[in-house]
Amino acid sequence: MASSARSRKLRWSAPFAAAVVVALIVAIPGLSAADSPSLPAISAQQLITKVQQVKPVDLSGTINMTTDLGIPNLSALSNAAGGGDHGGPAFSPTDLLAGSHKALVWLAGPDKTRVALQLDMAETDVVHNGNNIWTWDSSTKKVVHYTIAADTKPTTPARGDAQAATDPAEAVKTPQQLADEFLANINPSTAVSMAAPISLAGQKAYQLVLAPHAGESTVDHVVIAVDSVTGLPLQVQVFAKGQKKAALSLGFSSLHYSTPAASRFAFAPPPGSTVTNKTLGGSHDATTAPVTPGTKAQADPNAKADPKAQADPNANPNAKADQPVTVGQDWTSVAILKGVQIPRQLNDFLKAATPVSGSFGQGRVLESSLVNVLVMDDGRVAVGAVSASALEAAVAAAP
Amino acid sequence: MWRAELVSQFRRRRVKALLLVLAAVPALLAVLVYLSGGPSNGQGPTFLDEVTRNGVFAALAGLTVTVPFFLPLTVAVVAGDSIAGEASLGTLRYLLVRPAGRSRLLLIKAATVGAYCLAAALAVAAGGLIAGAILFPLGRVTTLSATSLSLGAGIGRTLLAALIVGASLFGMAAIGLFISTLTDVPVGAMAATIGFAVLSAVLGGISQVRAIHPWLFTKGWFAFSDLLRDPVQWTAIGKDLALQVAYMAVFGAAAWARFTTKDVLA
Repeated sequence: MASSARSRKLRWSAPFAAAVVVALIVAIPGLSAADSPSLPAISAQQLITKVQQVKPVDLSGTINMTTDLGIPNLSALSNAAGGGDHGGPAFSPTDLLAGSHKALVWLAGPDKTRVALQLDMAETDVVHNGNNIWTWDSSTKKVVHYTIAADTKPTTPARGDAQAATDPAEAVKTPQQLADEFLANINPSTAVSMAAPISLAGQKAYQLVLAPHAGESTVDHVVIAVDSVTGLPLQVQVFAKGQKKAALSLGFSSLHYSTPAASRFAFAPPPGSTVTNKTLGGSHDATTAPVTPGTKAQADPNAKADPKAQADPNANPNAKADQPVTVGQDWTSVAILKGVQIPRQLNDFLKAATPVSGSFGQGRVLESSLVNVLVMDDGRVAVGAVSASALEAAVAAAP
Repeated sequence: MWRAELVSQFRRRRVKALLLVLAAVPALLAVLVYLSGGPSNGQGPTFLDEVTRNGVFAALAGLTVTVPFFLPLTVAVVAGDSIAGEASLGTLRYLLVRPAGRSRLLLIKAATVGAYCLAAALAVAAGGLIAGAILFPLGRVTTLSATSLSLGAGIGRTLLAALIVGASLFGMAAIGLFISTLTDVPVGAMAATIGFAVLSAVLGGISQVRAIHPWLFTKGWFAFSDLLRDPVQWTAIGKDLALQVAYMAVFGAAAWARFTTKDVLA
């Protein structure tokens, strides 16, 4: 009997053994991926040059974006901004403020691009083919067809367009665009160094590390992975001070350097969709706003994350008259917007923010690990990747 | 022996009724859309706004609607009943008199529950396809990526989606089978199984426990919609099916450990 009792107990080890096997299967690939590939050492300067010389390549790949700003839940914010499940568009830029997102990207030549943002049971596509740009939202079945006027360059007007602010192509940038913005900021304000090469999306990549000298910057360092062969930036990670995981990570999870099929860039509005036609760059076009002069503020990648600046679909057109002012330089630049009307739905969210007051006036500070926002009672809003006190100083210094 | 068990299981009035109800859900949905004109774009559950243009979407909308609750509920009924039901009726003893052995009996029961999972999801798809074909036009199927599939390919993907939905219920079925070996009260086993599914779904909605989200068996239940993309995205579906295999391994082993050592008194 004793042996049978022991065999009974032994049988119960089977489920635990199964659990251990599952854990091992999950853990083992993670361990081997940590290996650093061997690449000839190059200097940071050589790598930056390599990036600056990168030629447009044809590719198809998957880009993952992960945001961890140390804010628990922003669904209330994104609902207030017009997203959410009920009748709104599948994609709202504020969704990118938390969690992970995946986009498929196809590039062929200078004038063919398709970006497909993968959402839960929905998809938002942007297709650029020659003089046509199509955007598609599978939830609302809305298609916007932009025709680029013949005399304008294909990409520049799209950036300044008021619609483009809520455009996924604008929110999900290719690593190359993001890295270019960072590299433009390199000057005495930044410590540049190299980290060990990594394997990423099947490519061997060098890693460039940029660290700001300024103490008030919330950015600890930025890591850019660059394909050792093509010079294409494959991944950008922004690490905030006091946070171990990247606050912002944008990079390829798979990448194939081959020309995608031409059909990938063909777009026909599906039956049942509503199509809005717009012209980009034409003189008679009322919907197109001029290119924003505040490109300096735009160049700060973190400014993208500001909900107030981008997310409000009912943005008061009059507010456009008050162009944002930029205080400070490089890492510590602060964008100050005037006459911002906070949507009523955001009031509760704001009440939870820390009230501050001083010689600069009164307001509330919304803090995250990377971006801080100071909302003043007088309608001014200051945004920057700097500490809250630096924001207050910037507001006080602003004209 | 498995065939005999399968036939007797699917001949049971309860199982027939469950499958019929599941097939009726998308059919009812289609009738409501037919009478009301359907939701406008962007309203209602995913795929429902396409139903008036293409009847195939009645099946896909049916899967979307039944996946969170109806389908798991019926799977919990069948899985929870599998062993405990025999025990409560006093028939388990007679099954074990046969020389097949307990391990084999458990395997047969598990396979039958698995077959029910697939049949249940297929019933939803079939009900939707039939009602959709009667009430609405059929034609090329628009994917989430705004491309279109031929009708045949669209129906094929719908049936594949149903099979994937059925397979993604395997993990929950394994939990149900394990609980069913613990008790002689089938209703208790059913309720506990549904309880686990609800718990998993609730945890999946709480962002503070994001760390365990990849391990929840309810997490991949909507992954089937990736079949309606162009190109089809297999990553989430593959992860979901792998997770279901993991659940089957752990809870199947637990059910085996319990069932082969249990004192069968009834």
